[in-house]
Amino acid sequence: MNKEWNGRMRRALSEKEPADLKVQMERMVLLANAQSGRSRGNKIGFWELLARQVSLIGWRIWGMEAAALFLISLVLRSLFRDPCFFTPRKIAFCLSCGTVAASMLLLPVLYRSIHFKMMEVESAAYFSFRRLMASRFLLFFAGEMAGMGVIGAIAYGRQFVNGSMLIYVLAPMLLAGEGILLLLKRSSPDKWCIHYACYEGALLLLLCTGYGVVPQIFDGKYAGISMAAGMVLLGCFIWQCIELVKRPKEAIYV
Amino acid sequence: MELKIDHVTKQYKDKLAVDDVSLTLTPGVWGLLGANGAGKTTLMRMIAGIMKPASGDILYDNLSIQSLQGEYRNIFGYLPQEFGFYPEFTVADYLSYVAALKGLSRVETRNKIDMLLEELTLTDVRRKKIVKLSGGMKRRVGIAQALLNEPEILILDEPTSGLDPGERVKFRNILSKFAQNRIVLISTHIVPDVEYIANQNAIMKEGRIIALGTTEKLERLVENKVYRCTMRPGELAKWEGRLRIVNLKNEEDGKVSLRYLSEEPVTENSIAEAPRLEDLYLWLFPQEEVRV
Repeated sequence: MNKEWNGRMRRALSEKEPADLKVQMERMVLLANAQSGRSRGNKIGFWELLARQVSLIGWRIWGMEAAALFLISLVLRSLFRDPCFFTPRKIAFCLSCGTVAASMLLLPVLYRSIHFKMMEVESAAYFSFRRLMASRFLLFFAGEMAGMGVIGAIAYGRQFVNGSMLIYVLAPMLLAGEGILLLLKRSSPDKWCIHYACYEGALLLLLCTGYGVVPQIFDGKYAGISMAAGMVLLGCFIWQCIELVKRPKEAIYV
Repeated sequence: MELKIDHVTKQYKDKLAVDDVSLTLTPGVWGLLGANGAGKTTLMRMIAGIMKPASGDILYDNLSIQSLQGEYRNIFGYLPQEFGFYPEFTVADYLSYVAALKGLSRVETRNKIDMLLEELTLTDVRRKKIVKLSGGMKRRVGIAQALLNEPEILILDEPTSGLDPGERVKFRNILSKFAQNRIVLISTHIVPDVEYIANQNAIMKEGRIIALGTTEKLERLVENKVYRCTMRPGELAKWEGRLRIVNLKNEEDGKVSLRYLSEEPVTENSIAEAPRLEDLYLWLFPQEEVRV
């Protein structure tokens, strides 16, 4: 018997006799039935679900990310060779846009269930559809972090590439990640793809507008503020991930 | 154990798909019959908890399935009418994937998959990609995933679509064995699939349940409305459009044998026949009839 069920039984037995004993008895029977269902086999937790996703679909997500990041890095590399283009401001801007573009790779990952008509079977399983998508997002995000880390390690120390450039990668990545986490919690699954595409489009537009109107933000001059903002974003991101991973009191209906 | 559908309604933009349906499901096999567009799939999606009713509620042992959340999903298996597979999945991969979604441990997953593959004669294809299987085999894989968590409630939407007659018989036997102390709800417009195994049937038309009862009770609704007669092929034209013909057969003597539905016999040589559930279905859904 698990601790939660023990606690509920203890509380129920210690309560005074309720006014409606029949209702209380029915609830006790339901609790017992639910517990007998649980004791038919303990369910795996979210982390084991995540681990098992790695061998089944994780490699595919990471392969796609690796290919996309490789292409993005080739484009950036060819841009950086151009002496007219090679300024810290432009590097920072391109890194930010490249990160947002890489985050859009999540769209096919989200859309797969709908495209291959798996959504109904996935929605009817023990782990809700939202938590399944959360597990995919975490796999995707882990891949993105690893990819960005590899690119950063290769590029670090080259002209104009230093630690302050990290914020131009981290901030867009975290903003994109928080957007999808919010969608996973609030939006209807059949609208995730379009909402996420709009959100990413808005981020890109914001970056381009920022570059056009206030290009100084890409100079790395406001490193202190940027890092503080980055830390806040990171904190929010981690908190949202924890909220999504915990067993939420979510409605049964997707 | 009881699953109560309580005045459930679902409205799409231009259509009332499910119209104030109430039904109480108890352990056994339940058939849900109806023509295409009757609302069967919508109702099943609501029972499966993947679509929210516009009004009404669905109760499992008097508790709303909304309040049960994951515990409800834990006890039922669902086979949708249209379902697909990720193209890279083999049969074993797919079942492992669904087993993980259903919260089964690795050991349980292995044991259940072995058992189900043997039961459904899929052992030889366990390492084959699902996209390369025949339609009937794909359907059996779908049934296997619904049974992975030994559900107390099994919802099957058009489960025998694409199966050959031998596979359908085997499927019926598997279900009958499985349905002891469980609720099994099968929606279909292939009447023989449920005729022999369903304890109770509900017939749905335009979003409403229009008939409910055992197979024998429903058959009595068309008692004295089913007839058989023979006639020369040349006489058929006279009855064209006037008779609701269930079956048309060319006899060896050159005549044509008709099984038809009518309030009264229409020819002198008509003989009353014992009704079948299929006759009731055609009586209620005349657009499904065989026309001369």
